[in-house]
Amino acid sequence: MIPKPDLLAQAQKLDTRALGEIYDLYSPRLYRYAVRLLGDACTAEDCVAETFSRFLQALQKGRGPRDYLQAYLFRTAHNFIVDHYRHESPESILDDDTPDCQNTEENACLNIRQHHVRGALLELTVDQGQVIALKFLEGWENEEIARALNKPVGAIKSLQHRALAHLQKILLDDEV
Amino acid sequence: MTNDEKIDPRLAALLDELKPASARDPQAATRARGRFLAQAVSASEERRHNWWMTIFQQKEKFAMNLIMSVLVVLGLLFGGSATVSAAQDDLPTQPLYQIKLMSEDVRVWLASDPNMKIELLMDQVQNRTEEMAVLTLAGITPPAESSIRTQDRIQQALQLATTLDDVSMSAAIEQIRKQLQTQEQSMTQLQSGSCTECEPILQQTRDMLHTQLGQIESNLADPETSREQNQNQSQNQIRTTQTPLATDSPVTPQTSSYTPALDGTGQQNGNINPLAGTPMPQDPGTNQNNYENGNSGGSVNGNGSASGAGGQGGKP
Repeated sequence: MIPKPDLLAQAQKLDTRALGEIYDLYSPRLYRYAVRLLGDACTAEDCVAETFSRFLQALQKGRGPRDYLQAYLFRTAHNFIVDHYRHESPESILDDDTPDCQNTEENACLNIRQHHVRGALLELTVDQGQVIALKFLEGWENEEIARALNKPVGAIKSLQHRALAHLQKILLDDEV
Repeated sequence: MTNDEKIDPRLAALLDELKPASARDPQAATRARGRFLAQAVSASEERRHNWWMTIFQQKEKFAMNLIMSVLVVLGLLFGGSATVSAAQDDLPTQPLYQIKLMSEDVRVWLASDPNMKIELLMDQVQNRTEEMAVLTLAGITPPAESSIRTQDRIQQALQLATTLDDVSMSAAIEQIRKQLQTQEQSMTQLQSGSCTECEPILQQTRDMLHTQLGQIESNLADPETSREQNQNQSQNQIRTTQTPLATDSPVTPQTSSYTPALDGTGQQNGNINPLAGTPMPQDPGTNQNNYENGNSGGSVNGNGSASGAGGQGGKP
């Protein structure tokens, strides 16, 4: 097994063993991230495949991440997710209010709520959406998010504040 | 995670509902990993060849051939030539692949110990099946030659094994059996989902390996008969090479142990396991090994065409 700090250096040389280890290390996390935001296993698989394909293409061209590989991969995956939703009509994502589940089957109701929250995340800017997803779904620290978004920690806090306010308005103000 | 900002508990609860993610389908994950690795191998090879081509494209063709020849000879003699080393990971669709095959054959030729020769021949068998796997995962149909060459090397190894003393022969055949079982298992596990056109050649290779394994089982059960059969076959081979076949002489094959043809025709060829009776005389023009000398004519369909790049998930 190649030591973690050397993985990226080896991958930049297109070492297939290093690339295999990187895939094994990050693809489960990327899949989980994608399936949470996309809500569909097939599209999440597409997201993982496309993320690694773009990573490989970048390495082939001598580009790609110089450090913070995890941040780069999540950023690429998030871009895929945003692109995916751009091709869907906004109405199909945000067509209902947060449902009242008193008279509905719980599972179906949960699915609708999840769909609604995903739709609300898409109402945010790309950066705001990624901050919320990484912070509250993946449990990243602000410093890690700052590296992923290539921004100072202060900017991340500001993005988070605005994003939460906006989400609250979309998801909760209707309830009041 | 440090929550340095207060979040409305109702909002936190809604976000928490996104956290449970459905478990990933292991088969889909394995397929995706295979596709990525095939892409990675292809990218790695491309970069290496681009480097070499940059150098060689600046030379005239004659000069390039001369340099290549010198490098191959030096590489084969000293085992350290970068070209020969670079060719070792090549696939049948790549330019240095013939050098790889040549270097493998020369290694067998240079080995003096029959056990070492058998080991090298079985290494070749493993290399061919691995190449077929990588091509299939990349969505490229493996050439029929790979499978034919695999069969030929298995037969050579078995023939060599029967020249050893009883104990060594049993050990060698047992070793060959183990390796073939591994190869058969790999070929069986190989999914051709991304390349439906690959299935016929994969199935033929699986059948061929299965047939060879069946023959080995019977050889292990009766080593004496297998040795006699091998001697008969060696004599027949000498007779066939030395005496031209009379065109009006009736020829009666004495064995029915044939393996399926690997040219995609579904027909059987006259290729007989060395341990399984008398070979059917063949027209010299249809020698199955012709492709190895750059001649893909005869009974072999040189199906080396690739079906394009492997599929990728998602959008380009």
